Order: sequence, then structure tokens, then C-alpha cells
Amino acid sequence: MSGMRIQVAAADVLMRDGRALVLADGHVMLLSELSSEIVALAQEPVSVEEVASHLAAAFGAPPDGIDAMEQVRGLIAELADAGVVSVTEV
Amino acid sequence: MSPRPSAPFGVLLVSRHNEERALLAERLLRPALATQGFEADAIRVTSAGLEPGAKRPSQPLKVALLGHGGSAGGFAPRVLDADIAAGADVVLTLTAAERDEVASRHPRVARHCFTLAEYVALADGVNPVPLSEHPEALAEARASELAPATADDSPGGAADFPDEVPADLPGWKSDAERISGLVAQLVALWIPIAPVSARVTPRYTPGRADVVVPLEALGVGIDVWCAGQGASALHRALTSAWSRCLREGGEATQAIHLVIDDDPIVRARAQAKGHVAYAHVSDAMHALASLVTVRAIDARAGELFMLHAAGLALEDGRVIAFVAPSGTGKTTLAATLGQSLGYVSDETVAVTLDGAVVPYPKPLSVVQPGTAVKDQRSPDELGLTVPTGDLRLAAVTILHRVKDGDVPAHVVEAPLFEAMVELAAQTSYLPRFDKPLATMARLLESVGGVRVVMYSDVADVPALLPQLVGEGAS
Repeated sequence: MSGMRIQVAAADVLMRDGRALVLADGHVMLLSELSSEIVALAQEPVSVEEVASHLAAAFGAPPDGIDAMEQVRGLIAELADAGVVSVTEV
Repeated sequence: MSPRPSAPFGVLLVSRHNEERALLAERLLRPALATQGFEADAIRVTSAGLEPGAKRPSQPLKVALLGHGGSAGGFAPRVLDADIAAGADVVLTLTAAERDEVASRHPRVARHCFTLAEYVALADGVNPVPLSEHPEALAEARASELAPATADDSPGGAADFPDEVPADLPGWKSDAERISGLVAQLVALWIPIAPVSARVTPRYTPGRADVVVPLEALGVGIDVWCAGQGASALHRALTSAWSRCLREGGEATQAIHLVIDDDPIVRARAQAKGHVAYAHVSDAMHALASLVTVRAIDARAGELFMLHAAGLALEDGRVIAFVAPSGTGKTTLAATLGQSLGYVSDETVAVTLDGAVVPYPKPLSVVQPGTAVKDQRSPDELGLTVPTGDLRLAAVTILHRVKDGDVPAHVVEAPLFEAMVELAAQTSYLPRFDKPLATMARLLESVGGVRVVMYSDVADVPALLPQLVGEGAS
């Protein structure tokens, strides 16, 4: 996903206490804290690397054996599948 | 209050190869919609295959299709890709394996992907919602434990088509027969919930025997015209069951044309002209509940918060909305509590942004004892109380009936965001508001948040009312 930029695509987002409630594809979802942080960051287009370093700063590095970039890519793919963010190549 | 012109509703039919069952279903659905009074561009029906196949359908398939009034003319096969999938409001496959493959390849459309048989089975008993919200309502029903047992659409299940497609004419005839039947059921489901813009505008001159019932639903004037040999019987049934929604003065902005006739040719002609035709009064009464509700909801989109909820009012006009998915006891609760509390609705609690409730005291759909048949019964006939005072929203509650065990009825405070996920699925046209989530949150917080009522016997719920409106310890 290098060279990709992500941006919120949901029709509406409501943030409270670190959690995001989103309306996407006509469906309302409550996101996890990690995903909520991605949505908060992606109000403007951001790169996957920026998301990964922001999450590491906010939540700490993932446990040994877990690749941070891999984890972030997985989360972004899930959010894109749900229509919460759009991913574009630059 | 006129409904916005809406984009066409996109239906995508998918089979392993486009030129097989997906083509058959597409070419059977298109004429079925046209003959049932849908505007040509209101529902966009397309098809695609999961894999590239032949350029043309087989001769036996074409013959079977012709036998049901369809044609394969102008067919150009397509292979499903992300763009095609994204353009559909609902994706319908013929086999469960195809559905599962679409869902796995295109997760974004997974919620709104069903087998044709599954869609028809799930729709039975789902709240009347506008067509654009129907796939989401069915997705909710599928995800809940309420999915009907008849929807045995697991791969290889009773409702599934075999993975192998027919190899000869008798096989394709049999498939065409079955798909044609499912398509007819699908179209019948969509007639009452389609937006008025999707239906052919009836060119209508009232006949001498035709009668009109002026209704008001959610503040929308709707004239229901009754025609055909059963017009007077329908008029009587309607006037009686909709006794609390009869309009006194004011203009109608909507009209519904119902024809009751046991002659199928009369019905077919009426349907093609955009009327709604049934052989029996009871079927018309059943469809009318959805027709009126959806027309009213469509007309008030973006103006009213419309929760799929039973609404009951205290003497001073404070309204408690009991939100529950279809088939989980809203009507029973409304019929029971409505003996002492004011009956606001058993279906839709509509609220202005400043908290005023617009009552919708429609007939209640009550199962006749000892049968599976539902009757539309007037709240007057059931002895339900007429609400008094200025109706204002005072509490929003989610009903959770505990079927097993002897759980005493109790109230639990629900975290706002979790509750909103559940309530949004039971709200019509939420996205039509400016900043819908903040608007919804504000409305819910103005009534003290959302509470969940856990109960096993509805008779225990009245004792909880003080807690629900914030007057007792919770």
C-alpha cells in the first residue's frame, strides 16, 4: 500500500472519547479505538506510513512478532471494505 | 414535502457465468417490473458472471426464456468487477455458493448480497421500509436470530439451486419456471415499498363505483382510491381499520389506486397502469399498511426522525418510543399498553427535530387466533386509548424480549454510541439529515439517553414506566 493515500469516505463521523461512530453505505458502525484514530487522522489525505507512525505514537508499538505496517494495512483494508475510508494511489 | 427524485435502484443478478441463470433472472425480472407498473428507468436491472463464459446463451436457455415472455436479445456478457458490484443497491445470486463468492470477493457489497430465494424468504415479516432501505433491513434480519427457518439457503440447502446448470431444455424450463416464480414474489414485495416516482403515474378517471378514503399519515394527506368489483368491500374495511387516520379536510398530496377484482386480466391491466391490484380485500389491506407507511415516510424524509417503534403516550402527552426489530413484539406491546396509555403507533414513531411527536395511529396487524393470517385491526376496535396533550418525545427504549428463563423485567442504561448503532438500523432516511449522527445524538440526549427494557412478559413492562421517563431509580 506504499504510495497510497487514505481519506475518510464515510457520509458522517461523530467522535467522542476516542471512539468514532460512522455512517457509511447507509449503515452506522462503531469503530474500535485504533480504527477511530485512523478516521480522526484521515480527515485529510494521509499516507499509510503516516498512519502507522501516528498509531505507534498514540498506542505504542505492537507486541513483538506483529508487523506494525501489516497491521495498519489490514485495518485500512477493512475500513475501505466498509466504505469508511477511500484509498487512492498517488 | 414531495419526495426527492431518487437515483434508480440498482439490482445486479450474478451467476457463475453471465449467460446462464443471471441472464435468465435479469430477462425475467425486467418484463415483470414493466408489467407490474414500474417506470422503465426506476429499477436498473443488470447481470454479470463470476467467471468469463460463452458470448451467447445456449439455445435451450433462450427457448426456456421465451416460454416465460423473456428475450435474450442484445445480451453482452460481463464479468463481475469492483465497479459493477459498487453500482448495485442489491446483488442477487441464484446459488448460495455464488452469493458467498461475491461476498468474499467484494466485501463492500456482502451485506446486500442475497440469493434470490433468501431475499424473498427474509422479506416476510420485515418492517415496511422504503425500497432503498430494504436490502439493509433484510441484512439486519439475516444477521439476527429472526431469520425465518424457511430460508434454508445454505449451500446445498432446500432453497438453493444446484451448482451445476441444466444441460438440456427440460432442465432450463424447470429453472425458468422457478426463477419466474421467485421474480414474481420479488416484484410483489417491491410494489408497496417503491417510491412513488418509480411507479407509472396512473392516468385515472374515477368510475361511478369507485370510492375514495382520505387518509392522513405522519401529516401527509393520502387519498386511497378503491376500484374494481370489490371496491365497496375494500372501502368498508379500510374506513373501519384506518379509523384514526381518516383525514378531515386538507389536501392530499399523494394518491394510491387500489383495485380489488378476482379477474386476473382486470388486475394485470390495472397493475400495468400503476394501480395496485389484488384478488382479495385482506391482501390489499395487508399491502396498504406498507404502501401508506412508506409513502408517508418517503414524503417526510429529512424532516422527521422516523424510528421503527411502538409509541405510547402518558396522559400529559409524554411519548415513550419502544424500538424493536420486526417481529419482536411491538404490536403486542402497543395493543397491551395501549389499553391504558395513549396509542401513538405500533410501527413508526416520528419526531420533529425539536422533539414533537407526529402520531401515526395506523391499524395493528393482529394474528387471527389459531391461524397464521394477519388482520388489520383498528385501534378503536381493540379499545386502545386516544392520546391526549401535546405529544412530545420523552424516552427512547430498545425492547429486548428474553424468551427463555424467568428474568424479571428491568431497565438498563445503554451507552449512547452502542445504542445509536442499533437505533440507526431502525431509523428511516437517517442520511437525509444534515450531520445525521450529531442530530440523532442530540435528540436522544434531550430525552436522557437510551434505555434497554429486558422483559419476558409484556405485563411486567408498565411497572417500569416511571424509570423509563426518568422518574424512578434505575
